[in-house]
Order: sequence, then structure tokens, then C-alpha cells
Amino acid sequence: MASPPEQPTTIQNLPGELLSEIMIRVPAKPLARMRSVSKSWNHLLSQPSFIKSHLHRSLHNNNDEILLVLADRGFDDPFADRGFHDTFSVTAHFSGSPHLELTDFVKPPVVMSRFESETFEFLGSVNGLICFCYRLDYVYSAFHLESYNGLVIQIWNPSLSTILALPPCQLPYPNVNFTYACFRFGYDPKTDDYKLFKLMRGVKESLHVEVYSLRKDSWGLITQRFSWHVTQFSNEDKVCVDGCDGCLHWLGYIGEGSMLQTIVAFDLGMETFSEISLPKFERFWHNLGVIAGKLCLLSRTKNLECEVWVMNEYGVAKSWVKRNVISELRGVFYPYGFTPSNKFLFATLDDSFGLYDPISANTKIMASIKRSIKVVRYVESLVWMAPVRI
Amino acid sequence: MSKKTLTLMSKDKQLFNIEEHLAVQSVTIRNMVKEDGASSVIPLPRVDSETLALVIEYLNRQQAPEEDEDYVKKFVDERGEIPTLLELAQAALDLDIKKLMDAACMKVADLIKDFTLEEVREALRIENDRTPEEEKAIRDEFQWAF
Repeated sequence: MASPPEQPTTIQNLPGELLSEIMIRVPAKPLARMRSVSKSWNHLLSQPSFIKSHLHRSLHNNNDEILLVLADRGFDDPFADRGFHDTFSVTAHFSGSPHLELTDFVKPPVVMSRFESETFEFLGSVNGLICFCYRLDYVYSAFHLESYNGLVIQIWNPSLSTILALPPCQLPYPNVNFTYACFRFGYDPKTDDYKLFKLMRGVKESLHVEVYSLRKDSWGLITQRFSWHVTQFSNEDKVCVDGCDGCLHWLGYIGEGSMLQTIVAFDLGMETFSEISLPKFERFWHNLGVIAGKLCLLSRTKNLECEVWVMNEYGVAKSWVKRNVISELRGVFYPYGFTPSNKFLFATLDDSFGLYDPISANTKIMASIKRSIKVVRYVESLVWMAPVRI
Repeated sequence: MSKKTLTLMSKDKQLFNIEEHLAVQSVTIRNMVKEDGASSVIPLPRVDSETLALVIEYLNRQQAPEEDEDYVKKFVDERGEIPTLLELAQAALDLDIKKLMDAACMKVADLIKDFTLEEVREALRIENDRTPEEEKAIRDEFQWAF
């Protein structure tokens, strides 16, 4: 119904542009509810273009960055409560000044029952989605979830409180044929798809790769033979920087027992491997990260200097530049990486982790690390996933 | 830069004067001035006089850059009525005044996020075009959100 021009503006005759500008500022959970307001709202809020705009705004609103600290639970974890539901922990920290711990900001999904869960591991996080897995009790799985071969993988959207269980993969793990598995979770902007990458080492040192696509909701085997001379992967990724330029990155060792390293990249869109040369730096303790959207290498030298090498032009080995981003930070620490708002995350020698803001030169010690952790950014995401019912 | 004055005309034909160097914070006005010098009156046929007065008040602010963010928030907070905010947001969008648009939209979003569905419909005057059955289906799907 068209309103006469004299009438005050209502949302019905507001241009779609204004409506979108307002709605991309509403958090994910109220938006889920507002799908019921009317059919046209439901239509708008379900549009992939709207979901992307909403995500884009959440990602680039750096004023109030909230970090989630995800702590795994291991089989022999002394901190794990053997009771129900307290199977892993998520704490939210406001990274701005003053530093705040936000209690009950995110509630971990209830995924466990008394029959389940011996180990629990966070596999990765990108754009507000968090991927994790847990191993079922063997007796239970034999009766109920045989096809999973013990390992249940789920994608969790904490801003919508929804969880998606992944379908069974083609090469199940754990399995006698494979000695090792490494997972990465990333986003490919070209296909607007979220993917879980799984690499396994076979008994004869052969490497097998399988990729899950959220868009297709299925797994596919990757047949490309890759990185022929890379024998070992370093799977340290404490800040979940996957998806830089639509690619996943690892440090790989060349040759058995060698210290020679290279960067192995996997293009999530093309599903192909490539290799990127490292800069010449003093090797002691280092890992990969992302700073301001660029791939970087964080290195701790023997005389306790911390170097940050930035790859200015993606994939171009000549473009590595050493930058003095954290030269002001004193003391002994291990570099973890940078948060999306370029704050530097590190672990101290006494097993705490801290955050350093290169702009204000402020340092905060945030919490002690009791278990294996990943630090990820909380991002409002509208990637709809049906809630799991248990 | 000389302190040249521009005249803006609202939808209801009221005239407002504003110094050009302040008016060109609006990208739309800046482009109009660039194109034809805008010697005469600039008509703004979609902005009513009440809203235009607010926009002019905002453009006339004399704020240090570091205080500006706080000022914009406060400016919008003090006009917390949704119909006013919608008019202001629309005007800021049309006139391409980014900070004002951002703050006004953010305020509306903040207000409606805790509203019940009925309150959202009432505040924004939306007709519920769903049958009770359809509404129930959505409610069941997103039970956790209600």
C-alpha cells in the first residue's frame, strides 16, 4: 500500500537501501527473530547479498573487537570436569581498553552426553564460524554412529547459537590406515564458501587430502599430488588466520629430519596446492600469521629479538619485508600472531597469554593457558544453520 | 576559502542558510557545488524542514576531530524517537553524510534489537503479512531466538 507523500516516513516506503543500512547493524540473534516480522523482511534477511553485507560490517567494525579463547579438552586433561557439559571452555575478552572479560557472553553448545566425548578439539574459525570435533566413546559409536568412525565434526555459529554436523567423510579418521590428521577451516571469498580441509598421512608416508564444502554439504577427495618433498607439517595456528587471500597456509619441512622449511598454500577456491618461499631469517622459534590482511612470519631469534616479516605482494617471494611492528615489546615471549585489529598476541614463559597494542604500546596479560587454546575473533554471522537437536 | 553561504530548501519550501565550507561535508552538496557552482537555492525535495534543521545543526557543529565521534553519538542519542531518527538517517543517506547516517542507523538498530516482533512492526509500521500458521513455523524453527 503506497502512502500519500505527506505521511511520515515508514519502513514500507523507505528505500531498501536505508532498510539494509539499519538491518546490517542489528546483531545476528535479533535478526533471526525478525525474520518473522513479515515475508518481505524474511526475504531480505535470507538474501546472500544481505548476509555478506552484514558480515562485512561485523568484520570491519574494529572498535569493539571481542576475542574468544577456545580451550580444547584432552583425554588426560586435569582441568576437564568429567561431568556433563563442561567439556570445553570459551571465554570472551574485550580487546579494547580497559580490558574486560565478558562472562556468559558466549555459551558453549551442549553437544555431549554421558556416553560421549573423550577428546575435544577446536579445528579452526573464520568469519564467526567455529569448527570443532570430538571423539565418541567407542561403545556408543559402535551402536549409533558407526559411519563417523568415532570422530564427530561440527560447525558452530555462536552468534546464532546454531550447530551443523558434518556428513561422514570418505576417508574416516581415526583409522588404522592413517597415522596423523591435520584440519584447517577457512573461507573462500570467490565462491562464498566455507571449507574444512583434512590432511592425513597414510602408513606408507603418503598424504591424503579431503575437503568439505559447506555450500555443497559434502566431502570431496583432492587428487593433486603436492609438495613432493614436504615431509612434515607444522600445524600451529593459535589465532586461526586461515583464509588469507582465500588460501590456507602451513609451514612445511623439506626432507626427513631437515630444518629446511617452506610455506605450503592451499587455494580453497581452486582446491590446488602451491608453495611460497620464506624470507631469509634466523630460525629459532617462529610461526605464520596475518597482519592487516597480509601473510606474515613471526620469528623469535636466539637473542630474544622478535621479527615480523610481511609478504607485501601475495605469493611473491621478493616482497618479504621485515617490519618493526613489535620492537617495543620487551621480555621473553612466544609470538602467536595478530588479531584482526592488528593487536599482537603472545604467550609468556609462565604460560599466560597477553595482548600488545602496537599503536598505544600497551600490554595486557589476559589469562593463563591451562590447555591447548585457540584465540579467535567473535564476529556476528548470519550463516544460517539448522539448530542441532539432541 | 571565502565564507560563501549556500541556501538549502526543504520539501515544505523553507529556506536555510549555511556556510558553504560546512555544507560540503555532504558529498551530495559538494558534488552539486562542483557541477554548477550552486549560486542559487539548492532544493532538497525529500527532506522536511524539521529534519533539515537537525541536519544543519549537525553540519554547523564545531568539534575537535577527536571529540567528533562522541558528539555524533550524543547528537543522535538526544533525538531518540524512531520516526525522527528514520527521517534523519534517510536525509543523511540522501545527502551522503556518512558519520551522521552511520550513527542514526546504529541508534535505530540498537533500539529495535530488543523489541518484540509486534513492537518492531508498530515502530516501523509494518504490516504482518503472515498467516498465524506461517508465523508459528518460523517460531518453531528459531525457537531459541524468542
